[in-house]
Amino acid sequence: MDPKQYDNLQQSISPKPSILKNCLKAFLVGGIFCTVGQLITYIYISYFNFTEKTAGNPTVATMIFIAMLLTGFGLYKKIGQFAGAGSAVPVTGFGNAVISAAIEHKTEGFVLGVGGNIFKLAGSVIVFGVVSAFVVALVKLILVTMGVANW
Amino acid sequence: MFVSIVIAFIVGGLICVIGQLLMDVGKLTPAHTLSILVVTGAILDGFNLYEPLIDFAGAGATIPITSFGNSLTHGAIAEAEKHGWIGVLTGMFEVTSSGISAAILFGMIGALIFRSKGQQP
Amino acid sequence: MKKWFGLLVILILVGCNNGKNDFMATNNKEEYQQQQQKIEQILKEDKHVKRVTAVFTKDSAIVGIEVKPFSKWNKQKYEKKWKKEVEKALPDRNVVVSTDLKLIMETDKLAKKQLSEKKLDKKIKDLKKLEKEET
Repeated sequence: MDPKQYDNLQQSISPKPSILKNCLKAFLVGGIFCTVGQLITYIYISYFNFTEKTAGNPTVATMIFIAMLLTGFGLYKKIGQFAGAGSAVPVTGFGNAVISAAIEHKTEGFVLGVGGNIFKLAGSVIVFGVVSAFVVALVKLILVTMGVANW
Repeated sequence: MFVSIVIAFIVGGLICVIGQLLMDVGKLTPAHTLSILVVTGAILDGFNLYEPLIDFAGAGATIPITSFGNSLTHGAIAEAEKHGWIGVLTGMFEVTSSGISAAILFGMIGALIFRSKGQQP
Repeated sequence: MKKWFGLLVILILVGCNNGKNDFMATNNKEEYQQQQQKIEQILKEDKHVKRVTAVFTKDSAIVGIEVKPFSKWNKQKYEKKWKKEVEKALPDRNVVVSTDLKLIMETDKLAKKQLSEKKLDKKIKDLKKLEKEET
């Protein structure tokens, strides 16, 4: 049997994950993370001196703290297996990527292991976030200077 | 207030569904998917579309990773408006640091108190 | 028997309203009734406004406007428009207009408490500073 035939055979036998089911699971879990975040935001607005505008920062920090607990006790992995993007897209996913990398590489020492590997998964997010923000802001600045757009 | 919570649930869920489609249909890795989402957040803020989304959906728009791109861009644009070219660099992390700082900080704390493979100390 | 019960329910519901204005909550001072009416007039007709809370003093005023959930997309635009209208209606005052949930909650608290004019003025100035915070 040549490689292509084997490939087709393998494709036809292996169980296909339903894209619809995956999307539903991602929707559910992602929605739950955001709902928890919304409740935390309301708590910060009601009981602390944060406005709607400024409450986003402590909310994100709290969500990452929750991610630390879930990651440390091995629960985030299970959530990830169930929910796919529903666990990766919220900031908790970013937190989990950083924290799980830190925990895994602790055995290699703090400077080389933790420090050197902590951004293994999250680095692309930060790099492309910064680069795209720079490009967008630059383009906007040029357009405004030319008089084509407003701030 | 209940309506706002439902809107947050739906919008947050939808952004995650977009991520899931990028992974399943687009066959992209999580790193690629998240990078695309962050860049999308940045571009949407360039068109002044992400801040209205935050006003509308609250945490449904601030929790997904897209809000990261929005924060960075928003800070850069706000500072560029005030100080011109150099503002693009100086403004970027002005309003954003909580996500990255928290992740690094809790990463270190996690490494100190948790054992590898998710076992309790 | 059922008829009397129904009548009782209706009477209770009518009694519960007891003249409270559900649309606008203020610190209800007679001297500022005219200003209150002006603001209420501007905002009552607007279909994006859910409710208003306002506190007036001699030198300042704070108006918190709760926007309907599905109108929140354009919240910033509406806030700018309402700010201009309220400032036009109350030209001799230091005015704070906000759609932010925190400011609305604080204004509600101020409306319920009975503070002196000086304390209210100071509180309104503090809330104005809070509104301007970026982080």
